[in-house]
Amino acid sequence: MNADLEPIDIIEKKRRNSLIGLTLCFSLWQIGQIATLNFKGLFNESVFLFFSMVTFVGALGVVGLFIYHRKANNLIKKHPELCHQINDERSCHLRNQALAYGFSGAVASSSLFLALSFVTEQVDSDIVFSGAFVSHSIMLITVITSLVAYLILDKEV
Amino acid sequence: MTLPIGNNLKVWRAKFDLTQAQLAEKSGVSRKTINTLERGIYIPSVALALTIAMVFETDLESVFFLIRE
Repeated sequence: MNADLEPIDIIEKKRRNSLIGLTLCFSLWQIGQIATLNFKGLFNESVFLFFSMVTFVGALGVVGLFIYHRKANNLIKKHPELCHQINDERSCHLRNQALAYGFSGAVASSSLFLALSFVTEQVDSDIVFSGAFVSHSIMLITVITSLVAYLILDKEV
Repeated sequence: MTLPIGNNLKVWRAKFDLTQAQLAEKSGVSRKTINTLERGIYIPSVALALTIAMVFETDLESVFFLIRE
């Protein structure tokens, strides 16, 4: 492999680590947001500050990794002849499998929230899950399930 | 029930003195794909299997085969 292509080789190897980082940062960001938007009244000041910091750190991480991925994409664009190697049939297959797992996660979490709402209604009819909380949580579970599935499937044994 | 698929990729690579990365480049896939193919973790598409057989200048059944119990 000539010197021109070495940066791409390095990026491919770091891709997995950056994806792990993205999964963690996105989780922190969204969990922090869900907590601060939906459970504000239940927290004292220090807990609220903690979750706000978690949101901020997570969001920063996502932005940083997004910029890193953009740089990686720009580098890859300089070598279009490598696209079929970086984006080969196996990676497309894994992506589809990961999306399928994400969809299963979406269905499972929707069902769970539906079941929870029935149970809580019987226990205490005053307990209500807001639409924003439910959809935000389902979105988070779907994305994290897809990312984690991809990382597990892509792991070189 | 579909029988599992085995391969002689490592043997053929040694015959042609190719690394996984070199075979990957000739086949138009990533090195990771070749690695998972050799370990039997990933089953190639017909197109990829035929491409790899073409790289080794042999027929498909010499490289990939069904494992009969």
